[in-house]
Amino acid sequence: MRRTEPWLAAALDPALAVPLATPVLLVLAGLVARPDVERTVVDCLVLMSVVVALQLFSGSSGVISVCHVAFVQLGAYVSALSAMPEQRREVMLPDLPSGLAHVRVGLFWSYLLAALAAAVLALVAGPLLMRLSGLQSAIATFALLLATQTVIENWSAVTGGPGALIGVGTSTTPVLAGGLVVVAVLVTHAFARSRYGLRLRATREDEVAARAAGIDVERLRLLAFVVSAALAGAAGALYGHRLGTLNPDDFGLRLTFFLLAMLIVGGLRSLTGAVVGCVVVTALGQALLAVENGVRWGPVGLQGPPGLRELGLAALLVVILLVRPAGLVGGRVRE
Amino acid sequence: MTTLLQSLVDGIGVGGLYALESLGIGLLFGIMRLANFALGAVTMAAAYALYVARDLPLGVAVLLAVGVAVLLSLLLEAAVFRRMRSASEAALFIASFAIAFGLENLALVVFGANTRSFSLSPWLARSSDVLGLRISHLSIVTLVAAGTLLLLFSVFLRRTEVGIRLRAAADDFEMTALLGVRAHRLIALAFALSGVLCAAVAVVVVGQLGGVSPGLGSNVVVIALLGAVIGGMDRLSGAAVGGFCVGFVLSLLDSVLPLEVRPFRDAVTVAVVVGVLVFRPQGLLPGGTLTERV
Repeated sequence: MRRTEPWLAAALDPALAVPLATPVLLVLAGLVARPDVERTVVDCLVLMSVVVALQLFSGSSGVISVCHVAFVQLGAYVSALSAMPEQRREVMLPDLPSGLAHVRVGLFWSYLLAALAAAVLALVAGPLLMRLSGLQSAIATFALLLATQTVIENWSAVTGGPGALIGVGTSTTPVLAGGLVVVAVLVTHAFARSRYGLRLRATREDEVAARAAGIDVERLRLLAFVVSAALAGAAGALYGHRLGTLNPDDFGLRLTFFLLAMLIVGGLRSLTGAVVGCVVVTALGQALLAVENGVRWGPVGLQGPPGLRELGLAALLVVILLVRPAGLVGGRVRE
Repeated sequence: MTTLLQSLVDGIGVGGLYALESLGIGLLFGIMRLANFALGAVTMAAAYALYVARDLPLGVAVLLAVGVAVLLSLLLEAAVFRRMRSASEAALFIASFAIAFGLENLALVVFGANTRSFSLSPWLARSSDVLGLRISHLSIVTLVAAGTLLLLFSVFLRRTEVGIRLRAAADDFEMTALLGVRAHRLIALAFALSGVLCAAVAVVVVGQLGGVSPGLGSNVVVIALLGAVIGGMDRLSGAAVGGFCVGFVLSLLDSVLPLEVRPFRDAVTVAVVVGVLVFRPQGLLPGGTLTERV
């Protein structure tokens, strides 16, 4: 019998079953659903790509990144601006530097540009950030998030400033968003199975021993960080083109919290965990949001106050951290 | 000249404010490696307590705020952090982040998103001439309160037995526990003290803003956390000095920087923080015993 090709064996890995089946099912659901449900599905898929990207970095390196929303935000703005028709841009951003004013690319190229911009930011900030672990890394990446936000919020000539950037267009479809999840899952899986991924995992288990074995910890982390940032930037491009209006508030601590909740609720260590966490957090969030807006089941009416969704998700995250620190699927799935 | 002096006085007031919050962070970090983002939520809860008690005499309202902050801190310790003793620093930080986020939204549920305006006391809003400077009563109160609390804390930590135990625990928790100090009580005490500090911060911030909104605490705690990182979270004085410096510099930059650069002030600050983390990860004033061993 012929030996299976290595790439084929990798693609047929059972560890990929849930991470690949989930986005496909979601896309199918999104195609037949009402428009408002379709929006939720697209949101879930876009955030799923970001969480998978986070898993690529944090899952293998064990280092928490709180700054991926910065990459998402950067990607959203880069893609929105570079794909926007010139006339509309003139109206929206009259002070745009002339060098940028006439650049316009197609939608697909704007996604690549977004990924590139995020990767460059990661490449510039990474060499410093990657020297840190644990809490210091969490705080330093948090600082990068704040810095990026401050710049985007105040660079009015290019980003529209604290006001919303409208007229971005809502071109992201479920298929597009699902496609990015599949790409992100395959890239993450390939990275985790590569020698770089395996070495990085060794640094997670015992950094000192890994260093003693000659592994360049900072460089490996940087590699994972940059790839992860590029995926997050592309996801940001899709997110911007799903929102249609870019508001700096949409990319703040709230989104950071949602992403962290998705990553940790499902389980940091596996792709299955990342995907499951996304679905669970989105489902619970939507249920609570429905209560916020008022629901009726026959005679029982329920109307909750605004803020209920965030409160419920925070409670869920704390309970998971207390009861199942490895996440819902942690330990059950082979890495 | 007077404007410069004026900004210096304002800066010292703001610095003192952040020093209090950073001291709270340092207290908990030294003992249980918890960088408590939830202190912001505790501050916010104390501020809402002041709002609820706005018709009572100021002294009673402040006592109530202290009570709420201390109780909430102890509750968080008993319900969450006591069960996470063996968790990693990053997991603790994320848990405290989730708690802060949850409590902020709880305030949103209970009180709504709008700022609830009220005045602690009309006297605070006025100002007097001191040596040719117009100094608001609020900044005098801030200075006196921050100075007194920092002094009391330093006397308590240096001269009393409990304080010395607390410092020992902040320095080397396991060793202190082995030497027969009751660790759990000490941790609860540290949480209660951080609650007191939060309440003090809440009084000053409410005085400055003239109201309370759900986001009140997180603005304070972000800066205090960065300050504690810069100063060094392992030593109490390091954290407090770091918080003071960040608050002081931010306040000074606000009046010194040219208008067009001012919005980017925070970006500069966080860049400094990243620099400190990279080149002096233990902070500018590190504790003595924290060298990571294999």
